[in-house]
Amino acid sequence: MSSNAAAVSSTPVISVHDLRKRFAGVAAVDGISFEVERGEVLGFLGPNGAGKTTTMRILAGFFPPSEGRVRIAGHDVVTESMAVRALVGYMPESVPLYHDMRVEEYLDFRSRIKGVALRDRQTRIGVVLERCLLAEVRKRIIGQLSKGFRQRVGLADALISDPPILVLDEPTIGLDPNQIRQARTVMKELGRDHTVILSTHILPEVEMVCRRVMIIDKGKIVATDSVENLRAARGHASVRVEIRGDRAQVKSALAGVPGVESIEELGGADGVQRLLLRQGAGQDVREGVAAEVAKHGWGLRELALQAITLDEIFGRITTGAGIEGEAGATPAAGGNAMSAGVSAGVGPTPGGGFEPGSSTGRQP
Amino acid sequence: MKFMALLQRELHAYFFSPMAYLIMAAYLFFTGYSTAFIFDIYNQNRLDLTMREIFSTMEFFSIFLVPLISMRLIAEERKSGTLEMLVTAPIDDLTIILAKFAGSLVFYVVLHIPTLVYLYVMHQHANPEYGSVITGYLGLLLVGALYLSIGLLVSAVARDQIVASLVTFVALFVLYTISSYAQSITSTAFGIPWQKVVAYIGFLTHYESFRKGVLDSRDLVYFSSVTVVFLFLSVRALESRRWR
Repeated sequence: MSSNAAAVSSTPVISVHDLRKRFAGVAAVDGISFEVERGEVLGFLGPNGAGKTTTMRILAGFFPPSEGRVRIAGHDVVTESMAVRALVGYMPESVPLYHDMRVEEYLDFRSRIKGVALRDRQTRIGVVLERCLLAEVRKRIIGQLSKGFRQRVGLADALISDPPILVLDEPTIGLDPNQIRQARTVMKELGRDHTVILSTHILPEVEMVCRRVMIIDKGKIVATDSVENLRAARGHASVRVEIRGDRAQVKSALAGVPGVESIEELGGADGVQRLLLRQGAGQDVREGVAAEVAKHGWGLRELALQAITLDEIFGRITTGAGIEGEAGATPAAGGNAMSAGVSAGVGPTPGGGFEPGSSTGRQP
Repeated sequence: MKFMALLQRELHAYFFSPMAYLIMAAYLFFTGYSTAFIFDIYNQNRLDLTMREIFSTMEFFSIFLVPLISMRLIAEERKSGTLEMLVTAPIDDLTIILAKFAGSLVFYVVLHIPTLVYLYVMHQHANPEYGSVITGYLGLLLVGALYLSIGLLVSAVARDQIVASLVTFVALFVLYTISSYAQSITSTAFGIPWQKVVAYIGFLTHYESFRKGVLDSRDLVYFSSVTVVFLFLSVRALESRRWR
């Protein structure tokens, strides 16, 4: 083992090399390598079953990899598991908790088995209760708490021993929009003094909280990129219009609007045309379209930016086009079942396409 | 300190669940009923009553009791997912197993405190022979520890609590049956080639001396070493996620 304390400051906090994990011969994680620098917040994006949870469990020391090497702060997760577990605050996806305990009791128990010194224990419990907005339920029995509160108890548990590294598996799954907003704020704050890996399949979340994104599919990394590049992909958003007017006329007129690259028919009836306009990178054709409609005196019933869905991002990446690639290979966005949408031009507000209950989208 | 935290958690889980009191009530009902029955028979036949027979009864009902105590130890945590939280905390598997074992043993001991009533009743009407009472309870503790260590191992490998309790029960029942068979053949003049081996493996023969009020170091060694073996296997079973 070549690791030593002096090298830690310059080497990555988390280093994963050719990680593989097989269950009964089936590869859940199939040779991934990545590094995470100190203080970085890495988003782990992928559909269910992509290998996110398996990777995070290995990082947390739950089980060892079948092959490959994982080092956390210079410690090998297999041979120095105890040191790794002491450094990592882990929050599993389903947030399993002892339902018969009170919040404060549970955190006290967890702080003790994580080796928090007696004199620090009350302070730490107070800090995490406040940070995770749990003060009001500290005396409540966990089994009677709502999903949102339980999620926060899980986060409080991950933070209780003040670990430098946090591994959070789907920290916002199952929360309502308000709770998600709060959770994201907390995670953003955590990013200031922790190294964080969090997994999600909600795009705006990654954009808000993370600096770097890693997309994983079928056990392999399909893309690693900065959030900026991911944002650039939003320039390819489409515009959905519904116009009362003759189909051929409408189509030819709209094709002439600068920035419109292609037009797709979404159907329509009774002289109402529903169209999807694909626009070029960095373009916004909405005003041009409105002007054209006004010029012809058609009835404008709808004019909206079509959110980019995670489906589309995956589609682009898995077809080899890359994040900044052309939108040609994307499926018709009309379905929009996966509301991990990004409204182009709008900041990361709660209106960023989130709808409760739909964050567990279908897999591409 | 981590051990104490885990032990407290185990005791919390036992004593804050209605299930535990149901089990306790059922156990005390059956042993109490049998005790009353034994009292009656001895009284009718004007025999000298000792606690020996009562210990025999409790030892028998422990076969039913222990699976209910031990089934939740690890199987429940695996099923609910809390095992993941436990083993990703910086505690070694041995500490987890020892704390769980100690927690279940404490519950087993506490559950036997009300049986002192039987002793009190006997004290009123006969001479319970206090020397053999103490060794009898010590023997019961050792048998309980052995049973619980078996139950703990089963709980560590079983899919869920139901399976764990059934498998543990079957294992204990088979052990008990072999044991009483071995005991019965030792007490007759007919020797069979395996008799000594079977008698040694069957723990009833070892328990017998405790009931008689005899403290034999060989029996102490027998019970503690077999218990340690099962605890060791439990640690391995818990670790098995690492190589499975």
